Amino acid sequence: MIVLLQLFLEGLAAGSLYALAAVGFALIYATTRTFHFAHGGTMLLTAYTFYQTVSVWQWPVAFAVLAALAVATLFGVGVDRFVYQPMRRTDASFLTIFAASFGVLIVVTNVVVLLFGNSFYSVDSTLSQGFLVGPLFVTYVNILAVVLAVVLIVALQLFIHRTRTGVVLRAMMDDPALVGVFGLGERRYGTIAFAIGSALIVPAAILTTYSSGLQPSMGAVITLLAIAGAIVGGIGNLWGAALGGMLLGIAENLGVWQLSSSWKPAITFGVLLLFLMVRPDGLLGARTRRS
Amino acid sequence: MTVKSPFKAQLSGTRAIATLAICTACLFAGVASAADKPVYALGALFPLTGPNAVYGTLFSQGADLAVEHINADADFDGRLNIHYEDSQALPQPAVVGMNKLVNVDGVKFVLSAFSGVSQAIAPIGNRSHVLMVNGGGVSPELAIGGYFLNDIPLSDDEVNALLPHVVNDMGVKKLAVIHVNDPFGNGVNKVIKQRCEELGCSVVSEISIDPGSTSFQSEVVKLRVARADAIYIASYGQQQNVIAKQLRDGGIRTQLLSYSAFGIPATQKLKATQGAIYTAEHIDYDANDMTRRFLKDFQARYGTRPNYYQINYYNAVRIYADLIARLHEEGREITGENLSAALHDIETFDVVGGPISFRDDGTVQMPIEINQIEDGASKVLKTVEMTE
Repeated sequence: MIVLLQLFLEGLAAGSLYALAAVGFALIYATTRTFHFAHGGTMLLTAYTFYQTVSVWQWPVAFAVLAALAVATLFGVGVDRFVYQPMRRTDASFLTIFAASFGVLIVVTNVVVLLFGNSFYSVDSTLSQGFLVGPLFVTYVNILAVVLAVVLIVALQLFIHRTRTGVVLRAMMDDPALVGVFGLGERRYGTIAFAIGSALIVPAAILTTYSSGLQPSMGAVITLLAIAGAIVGGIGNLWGAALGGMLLGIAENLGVWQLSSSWKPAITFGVLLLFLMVRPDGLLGARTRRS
Repeated sequence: MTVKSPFKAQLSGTRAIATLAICTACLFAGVASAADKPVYALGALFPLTGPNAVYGTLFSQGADLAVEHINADADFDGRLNIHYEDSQALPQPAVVGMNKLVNVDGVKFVLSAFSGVSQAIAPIGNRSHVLMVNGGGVSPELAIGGYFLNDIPLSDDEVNALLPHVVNDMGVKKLAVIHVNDPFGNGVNKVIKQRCEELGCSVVSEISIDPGSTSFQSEVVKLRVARADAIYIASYGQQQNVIAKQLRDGGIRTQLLSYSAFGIPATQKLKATQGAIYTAEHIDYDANDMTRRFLKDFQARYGTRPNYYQINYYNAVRIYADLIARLHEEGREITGENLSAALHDIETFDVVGGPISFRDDGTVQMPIEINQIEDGASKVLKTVEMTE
């Protein structure tokens, strides 16, 4: 029982990070209809920036976080402005833009390999340690992951429901073209969506440097998890994406209670497959359409 | 008015040209005599890129120094040259590299590393009659024989040396094993389970991990609950460092055990591995002149003492040179078959660390050290003589 509880806690923390990545991806997709496969590139660049500033250049953590945030936002906005928007202006197909996005991720991954090599890096800190709560071991990173995910996702919901920009973003989720017809600057708000969506991945990137560490292949992994979470939750629904990411994190950790850890990716994508077969609209997708 | 003689000018110009021609001839004569020496290339399948590239660097340091020494000593008419191919420590690129070395470069001797790589290339070498020497992989399944040799003790020797000490001297009754899911890891796990059963300890948890994994939170949960007296880590490269760190971060203070891979500098310096006990081949650093020369030159070049991986690959190249010298003496052609025959004729090789000989199954018998990591370096706890 304790094992299950402990695995659940680990799953909650992992799921929180997946939720942030999934919500960022979902926001970008829902508002701009862009399958932003390069979302994993944002994670990579952010994580390695944080590592470089904190561990190598010995910056204070607060400045390193700001640097990571700046890199994430600039990268997301840059990819939108210089890759996707020119392609949309020429009426490029969904598949073409997807291929471009995939290409961006490959380029970013290889740039990281060129600059940092394939070695594993992590940031040493007491944050990756923890303490016992009864029979359960809790790490500071895990606590931060859950708290940050909750705070940021709630903040995002408040933003899109209570601010003018947020209302426009919600309108874009319904119909991006109509927003343009009303002269609301569809491209500008699309850029804002990319900025916010990319910024959401920053906590996941930073906390990963403390816990699991960094290697270049993690970009592709987080992209797939974000996509899976967004689909399981209901594509286009931000609460759904959060729930989907959380569900995947918990499922993959609980799943290895009796199975070898090698089964983790199979469990994650098994859940995705199950939802696609049984409930293709995801956890909250159908409910949104009906409402 | 003085008129310069055109004939004198012509003569001085001719003299200049003649001088230049003689100098050029001398230069090319020097080059030509080196170029006349036959080149006996050998291949090396090391991870030059990827997460295990750190090992490739270590291995090549030993091999390159051996080539330098052998070429400088000129004990036979020829010189050595290494053709490196990048295995990335993976079987598939290793097979591609091996095929190139054998079919394109025509080498008759290949250095190998990593158990998965070695198992993948062994059939190629055996079929093509190319001698292979592994100095890094330790899976018990590398006792292949034929043209395949290991100048590193395999993990069954390491486990057989370690477990009696751990069980009888340290009082460990419950052991947990976390091992990479590949020929090496699975082989070590099997030997540990067998030996544990014989010694009266029990394996309370065995966890298999993917070679590429870097996140072990759920494994840490299982190991914490298992409450083992010691945890054996059978992994390598970056991954073993990650495992150790995440175990400690997860609050597990249990004694860590491992094998020779824990001897690499990056692992020795890690805070999480301090106190870990691991096995490695015993090297007599004062065995002979070759050992002393190797130590001196290695330290002068790299500023650090060599570890057994570097010694193994130095020795492997030395063995190749000894085989060539023997074939030259006998006037035989340098072929894989002749190299193998010479190997059986010579029986014992004087190399760094002392004499070594190979068993029929291609394994080497040597004493095993039990070491403990302390303050970023290793301390020898015990040396165990291995019997047949």
